[in-house]
Amino acid sequence: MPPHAEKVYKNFWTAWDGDTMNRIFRLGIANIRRRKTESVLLALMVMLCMLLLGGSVAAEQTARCIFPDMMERTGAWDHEITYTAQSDDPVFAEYLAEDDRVADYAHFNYLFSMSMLMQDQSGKEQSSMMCFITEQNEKQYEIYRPVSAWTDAEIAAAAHPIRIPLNQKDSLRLKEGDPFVLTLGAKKFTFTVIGFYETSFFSYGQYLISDADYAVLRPLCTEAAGFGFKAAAGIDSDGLNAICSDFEQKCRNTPGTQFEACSLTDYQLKKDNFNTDIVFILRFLEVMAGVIILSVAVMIGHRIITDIQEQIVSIGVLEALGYRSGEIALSYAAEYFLIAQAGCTAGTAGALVLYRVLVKIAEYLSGYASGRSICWQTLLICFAAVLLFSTLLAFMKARSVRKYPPVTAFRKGIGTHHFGRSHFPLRKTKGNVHLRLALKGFADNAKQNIRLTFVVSITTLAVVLSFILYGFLGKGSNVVLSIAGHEMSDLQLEIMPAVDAGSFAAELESMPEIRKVLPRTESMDMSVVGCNFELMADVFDDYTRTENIHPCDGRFPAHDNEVMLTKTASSAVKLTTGDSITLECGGVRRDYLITGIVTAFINADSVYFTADGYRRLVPDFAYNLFEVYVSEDMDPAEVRSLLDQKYGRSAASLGAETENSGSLEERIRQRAEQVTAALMQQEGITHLDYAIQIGDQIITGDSSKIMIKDYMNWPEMVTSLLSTLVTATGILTRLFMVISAVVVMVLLFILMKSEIRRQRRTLGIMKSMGYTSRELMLQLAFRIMPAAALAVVIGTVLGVTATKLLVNYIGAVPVNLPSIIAVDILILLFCFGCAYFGARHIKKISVYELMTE
Amino acid sequence: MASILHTEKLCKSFSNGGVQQHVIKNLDLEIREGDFTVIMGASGSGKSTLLYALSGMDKPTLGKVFFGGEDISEYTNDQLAVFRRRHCGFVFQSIYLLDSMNVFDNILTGALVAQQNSPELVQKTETLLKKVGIGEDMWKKYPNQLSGGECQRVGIVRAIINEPEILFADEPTGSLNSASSTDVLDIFTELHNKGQSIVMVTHDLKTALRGSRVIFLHDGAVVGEHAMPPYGTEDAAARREGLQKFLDSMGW
Repeated sequence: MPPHAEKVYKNFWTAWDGDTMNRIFRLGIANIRRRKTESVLLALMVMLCMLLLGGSVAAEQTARCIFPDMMERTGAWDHEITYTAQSDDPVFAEYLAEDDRVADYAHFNYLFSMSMLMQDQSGKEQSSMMCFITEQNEKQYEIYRPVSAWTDAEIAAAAHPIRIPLNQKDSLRLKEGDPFVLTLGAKKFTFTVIGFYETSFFSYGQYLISDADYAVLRPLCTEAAGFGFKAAAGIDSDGLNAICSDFEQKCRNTPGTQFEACSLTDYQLKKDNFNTDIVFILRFLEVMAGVIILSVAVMIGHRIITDIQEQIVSIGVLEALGYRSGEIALSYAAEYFLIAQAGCTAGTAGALVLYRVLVKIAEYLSGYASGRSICWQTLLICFAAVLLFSTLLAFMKARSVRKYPPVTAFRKGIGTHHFGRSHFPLRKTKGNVHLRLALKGFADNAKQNIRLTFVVSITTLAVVLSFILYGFLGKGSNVVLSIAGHEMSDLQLEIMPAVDAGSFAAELESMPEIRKVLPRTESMDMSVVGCNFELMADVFDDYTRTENIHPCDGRFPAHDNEVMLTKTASSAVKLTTGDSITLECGGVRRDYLITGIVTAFINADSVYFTADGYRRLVPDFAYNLFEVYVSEDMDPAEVRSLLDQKYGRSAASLGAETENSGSLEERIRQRAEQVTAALMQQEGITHLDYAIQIGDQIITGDSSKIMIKDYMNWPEMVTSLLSTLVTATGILTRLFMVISAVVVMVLLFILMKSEIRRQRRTLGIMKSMGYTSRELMLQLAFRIMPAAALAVVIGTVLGVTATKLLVNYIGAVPVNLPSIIAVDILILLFCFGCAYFGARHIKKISVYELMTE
Repeated sequence: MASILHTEKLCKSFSNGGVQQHVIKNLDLEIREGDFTVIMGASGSGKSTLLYALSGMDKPTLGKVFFGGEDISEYTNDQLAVFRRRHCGFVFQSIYLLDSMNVFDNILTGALVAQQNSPELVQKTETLLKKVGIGEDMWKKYPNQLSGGECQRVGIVRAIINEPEILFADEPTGSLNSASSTDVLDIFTELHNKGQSIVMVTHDLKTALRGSRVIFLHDGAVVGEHAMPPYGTEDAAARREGLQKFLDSMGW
C-alpha cells in the first residue's frame, strides 16, 4: 500500500471504536443541524439521483427482458417465412423438410388488414393494423395460452367469439363479455370478447377468432401464409437468408403457382437485440442521474471547503482538545453519510414508483407484459454506490483539515491570504463598479467556476436535448411524421390494377377538395446482390413533390439508373452516396447509382426508385397506390366519402356490404358487384364482365366502375403506434427540464449560501462602506454569469451535437436554432435569478454585528 | 459651530435569550461640524453602540438620529447604506481591509461606490496614500503583506477618499503598537485641523487628547463632557492634566 493510502487507511480504522465513532457522528449531526436548509436540499438532490438511477437501471434490466421472456413463455418459432396465401402450395412444406439447415417447422395462415377501424371503449374509431388467426393456426404458431374468467359453457355460448392479446387487455380496457367492434367500409363486425391469450406476435394486434368468422373475414382481408421454423445448430443470419432465398427460388419454380417473393423474420435476432424505445429514455434518465451526482459532488466539495474555512478556529480547538484530523475528516464524512442515507432511502421509495411507471411504458411500447418483479440487488447496488460516492468524496475533501494544525487553525490558516496577481484592477474601471467587482470575484474563484461551468454545461446539455426532443416527439406526432422517410399523405388509396394511374391521378387532382395526388408503388422485398440483405422498394415519379422524404446526404434519384437508400439500409449494405448497388428482384439484376441517403424510421430498410428506374427491374410494374393530400381545411373522411360518391365504394367496402334493399335487379346488381369486388381483391383479377339471366331478363355489368381497391390512413395508424412514445417523451422531456432547473437552482442556492458564509466578513465591510444589499446581491449573481454563459455555450454545442448523433437512430431531428438560443437566454436568466435569489441572505448580514464580534 | 448630527431620546437595546439589555438610554446628543468628538467610557458603557447608531451602521430601537436635519432613524438598510457612502467615512479597530484586494483596490472599492472612476480620483488616491506614508511600492501589496500600522493608514485613506462630511473611528489605534498609533493619530489631527468632523470612540487617554470635545458615557447615558482647544495649541501637560481630572471626576 502506498504511504499516502496507508495513512488514510490508518486514520479511518484507528477512529473505528465505539466512543470515537459516537463523537464523530455527534459532530456530523451537529453540522447538519447547523445548516438545516442546505442539508435538506442536498438530501433532496441525492434523493433525485437515487430515484432516477435506481428506477431507470432496474427498469432497463426488466425492459430488456420483456421480449426474450415472452419468446420463452410462448415457445414461438425463432424464424418465420411469410408470403401471400394466394400463392401457397402444400409442396412448399417439403422444401423446408428436405433442407438440412432447417431443424423443425410448422405451417400457418393468418389474415391482416390495414383498412379496418377498431372501435375503442368510448366508441371512437381508430385505424389499426389488424391480424386474425384461428386457434388451430395459433397452436402451430406458438404455445396456445388462453386466459379467461369465463367458463367453457359461457365461451361456447358467445356469438362471434374473439380472444384479445393479453398485452392489449389494459390498453384497450377490455374484459370478458365486452363487444369488440371492427368497421370495414359501411360494415360493422361485432365480436364478443371471450378472453385473452398470450402471444409473441410482433408489431401489431393479432386476434384469435373462430373458423367461421375467419371465413367471413377472409375475402375482406389479405391472407398471409408462412412457416415458423427452427434453424439447425450453427446457422447464422447469412445462413438464414440463404435458407429463405433458396426457399423462395424453389417456390417460384414450382409449376402452377404464382409465387413472387417471401419475407424472413428473425425473431431470434430480435430477441437477442431487443431494444424498445424505452431504453433510449432510460439512458437519458441514467445520464440525468449522473448529472445530479456530479452536481452533488460539486456541492459537497464546495460546502466542505467553505465550512472548513469558516470553522477553522473551531477545528483548531478540536485539534487542541485531542481530536485527530482524520477524526474531524470522518465527522464530515459522517455528516454526508447521514445526508446521503436519508436521500437514498427516500430515493429508493421513489425509485420503486418510477420503476413501475417505466416498466408500464416499456410494456406499452413493446406490446408485451413483463412477468418480472424489480431486481432488489440492482436497487441495492445503486443505493450503495450513491452512498459510498457521497461519503468517500466528503472524506477525501475533508482531509484538507490536515493542513491546519491547531496553531495554524487559530490563525485562520492562510486561506484568506492573497499573494497573486490582482485581476481586473479597479483603477481601470470604466463603467459600473459592481460589474467590475463581480468580474474580480469571478477571476478570484477559478476552481469554483470550473466546477460550476461543468455542472451548468451538463444541465444545459440536458435541457437543450430535452427541448429538441420535446419539439420532435413531445408535442405530438406531426413533426415525427414530417420526417418519417415514408410518405404520409392524408389518405392513401390502393387502386385497382386495371386503372390508368396517370389519368386517374390527374382526374383526382382536378377536384378542388384535393391538393395533390402522388402515384406510388410499394413492393415486396428485393435483395442486394453480394450481401444477403433485403430491401423494400418505394417508387415515386417525382420526389420533389413528396413531403416526408428528405435526403440527409446527396439528392433524390432523378434518372432510371439512380436510387436512394435509407440510412439504416446504407449502413447494413455498407454503401453510400456515389457507390453502385446491384439489386435483384424476380431473377432480374440491375445496377444503380446511389444518389442519396434518407433518414427514415418507418420502413427503415427501403430503396427509393424513380418509376423508370423501377421498371428496369420490374418491367410490368404499374402504380398501385395514390397518396392523396386533401386541400386545406378539408377532412380526409369527407374527401373519402366524396370519392365514394364519385367512384362508387371501394372493392373492400363493397365486399363487406350486406345490405339487401331495392328492386330485384338492384339487389342482384349489388350482389354481382360484391362478388366482382371480392374476386378482384382476392384473386388478382384485373377486369371482369358479367351477365346474369333471370328468366328473360339479362343483367349485365363490368368491373370498370370499381376504381379504388381500398383506403388506408397511414398517419392515423402511425400516430396511434407512436402515441405512447409521444406521450412518454412529452412527459419525460418536460421532467428532464424541470429536474435540470431544480439541479441548477439547488446548486446555485447552495453555492451562494456557502459563498456568503465564506465572504461574510468581506460583504460586511462592503456594506459598511455603503454598498447596499441589492448591489451586493447583484455582484454575487453577476459573478457566476461568465461561468454560466460559457457553460450554456458548451452545453448547447454538446446538445446540438448529440442531436446530430441521434440522426443515426431516429432520423433527421429538426433543430430550430433561434428557439434554442431563446432557451439559452432563458437558462442564463434562470441562473441569474437563482443566484440573485440565493444571495438574498446577504440581507441578513448585520454590519454592526460584524463590527462588534 | 453648526450641528451636523444630533439625537433625540436615542435608545438602543438588545435582546438575548429573552433578556433585554438597554445599552443606550434616552440619549440626546449633538455633534457639531468641525468638532473632533471623542466618546469615552468604561467597557460596556455603550460607546461603540452609540457610534454605530450615529453613523447609520445600526438602527436605534427608539428615538431619532438627525443628520443635517434629516431623520435617518427611519431609513431602510439600503437607504442607510446610501447615506453612509455619501456622508460618512469609517475607521475600525480591526481595520477591516478586504483581504482579496491589494491596497489600491481596497481604497477604490470604497471610492467607486460613491463616485465615478476618473484620473483625478486615481491621482487623489495616490496623493493621499503618499501623504499617510504608504509608498508606491506598497500599492500592489495585499493586506497580509502589510504591518498593522500600514493597514490602518490604508484604512484611513479609504475612509476619507470620498471626503465624508463626518468621519467615524472606533478605537482606531486599539490594535496598533505605540509608534504606529502616534502616526495614525497624527493623521487624524491633521484631518481635524483641516476642518474634518470626527467622532472617535476610545478608552485610551493618549488618543482622547487629540479630540476637541470629550463625552463620557456611563450605562448608556452621557454623564459628562469636557471641551479642549485644538490639539497642539496649548501646553500638552496642561491638556493632559485637564482631561485626566475630567476623567477622574467621571470615575474612570
